[in-house]
Amino acid sequence: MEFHKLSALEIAEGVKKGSWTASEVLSAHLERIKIFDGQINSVVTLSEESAHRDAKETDKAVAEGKDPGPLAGVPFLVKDNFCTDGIRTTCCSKMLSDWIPDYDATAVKRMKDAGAVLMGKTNMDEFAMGSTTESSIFGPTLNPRDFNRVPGGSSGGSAAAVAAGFCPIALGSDTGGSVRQPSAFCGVQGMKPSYGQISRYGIVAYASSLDQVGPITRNTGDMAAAMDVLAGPDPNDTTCDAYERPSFSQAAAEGIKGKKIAVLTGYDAESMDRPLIEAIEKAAGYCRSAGAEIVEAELPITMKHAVACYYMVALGDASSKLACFDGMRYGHHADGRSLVEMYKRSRNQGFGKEVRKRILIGTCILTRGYYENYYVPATKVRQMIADEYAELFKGVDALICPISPALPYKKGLVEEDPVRIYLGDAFSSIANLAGLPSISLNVGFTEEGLPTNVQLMGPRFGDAGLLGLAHVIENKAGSPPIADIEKKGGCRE
Amino acid sequence: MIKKMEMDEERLREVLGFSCIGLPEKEYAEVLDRVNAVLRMCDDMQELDSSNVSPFEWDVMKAPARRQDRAVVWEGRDRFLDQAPVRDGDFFHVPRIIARDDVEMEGEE
Repeated sequence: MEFHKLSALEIAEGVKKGSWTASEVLSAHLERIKIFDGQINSVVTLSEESAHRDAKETDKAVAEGKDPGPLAGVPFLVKDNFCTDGIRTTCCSKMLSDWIPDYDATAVKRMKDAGAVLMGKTNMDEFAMGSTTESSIFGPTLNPRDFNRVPGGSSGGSAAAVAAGFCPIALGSDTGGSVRQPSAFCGVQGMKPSYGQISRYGIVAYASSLDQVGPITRNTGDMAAAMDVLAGPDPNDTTCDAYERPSFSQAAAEGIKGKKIAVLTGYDAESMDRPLIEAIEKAAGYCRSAGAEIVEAELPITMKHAVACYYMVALGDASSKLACFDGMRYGHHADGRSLVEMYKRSRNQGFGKEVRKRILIGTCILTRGYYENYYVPATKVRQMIADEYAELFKGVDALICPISPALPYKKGLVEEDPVRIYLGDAFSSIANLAGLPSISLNVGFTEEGLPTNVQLMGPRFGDAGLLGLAHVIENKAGSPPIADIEKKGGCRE
Repeated sequence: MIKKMEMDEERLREVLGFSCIGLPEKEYAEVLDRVNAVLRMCDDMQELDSSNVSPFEWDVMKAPARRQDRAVVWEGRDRFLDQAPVRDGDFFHVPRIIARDDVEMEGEE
């Protein structure tokens, strides 16, 4: 049985029916990781012992006739910035290289309570600051669709692992596109739910007013099933709304006949990779044939200012969030002759180059002069962007637009042209600024085998309807296959 | 009146102090280039008339989350103590950090 080819829902159904055991499914996935992850470096920590223990618990529950949960026996991986009880949580940084939390993040706990089996942690850009997964202390992750390209980031390990068939569901965190852009680059499906949909308790923060947890899967059915489990109020995260959620799985099965869907116009499509423009036309065509009305929409303030606004807000937030990693309260400690020297040495040794640069920029924009001229205007522009979207969604049910202006980058671009990488967040960061749900959906591949994709956005807390739209497009485009890493063979350099 | 700004070496030194980050002087030019490229990216944003707009804040919640006002028993004390680099009974043993003269700082900022 090739368990890695099954969806999460198929695995759970088989476990519940007794067609196979959670332990069998787990062993097959662990073996696949051990054989093939040497090529792409997507997994940084495997927790085999606890995984086998949890799988046996699920099998015991099934044998005793108890309900093992909706995700019974589904193996999953989480980004290394999710706290995991008894498993090291490093944020792929020297700063936290030996930290072992004593509790699970709420998202991890919810997955486990639903019967899913945590196998380990995935690679990421250090402290989630990056779009290529090249700044990890564990080395870069490679794109399983093309080893010469990056998997995107910062949740590149999670997206690469799902694409490689190491697990059917992985979790990531998304501050400006960190779930959706790597999902797009690796040819899988990724979702950033509305701000307030899923608890962030136990996630090491990058920028709290933007961060959100999101699932990465190979199909929208698994995505909806993960959302049913993950979404919900949490007394430990007061930003997580306590409203009663609809069934995301049920909503995903509903059609879009009679819905009005906007396609974004008014941006510089000429500078984008052509297959990504074609992907939007294709997705709009699928919606039209499913009975939706397609209209055009322009968002001038968003398109001109979103990325600048995002970096001001995110870096300002990050510089204050990461101040606690000083070698005394948290993180790597280095001795110094004075308190300030100790702080400086600890932070210099603990943080990598990209994180230090982002802290510097963030600190700069929060200082006198820059704060009034850059940070405060950014918070106002953020409100204008949110207003622009609120106005748009008064008239349409969803928006289709790009998630990234480019196909997966070649390795090393981040060193050559970091500002171009920043500008790559122009489309993905909008949903974070306005708190909207957004899905990165694969709609096919180029002749060279690179994934093409679209971004779907909806009104705040319109996550269920958005999943329905994604499901319709996926039904027409087909869900993406597992990356052919077996045939690529060999080991990474 | 909002104005465009650039960061210079003097301000960089100040910011390095605020952020407790050390940087070798040979890297100043590269960092200044990067910071100023990001600031230039944001210059257009300042030209937008936002005088009648309030700064963004999260206020759209369907049902605000609340938790009970009660103490929670935490049983992870020993597990944290077990992670201490040096443990002294029920305490973390931490190095002296102020006014030390036995630390080699050669080659570091």
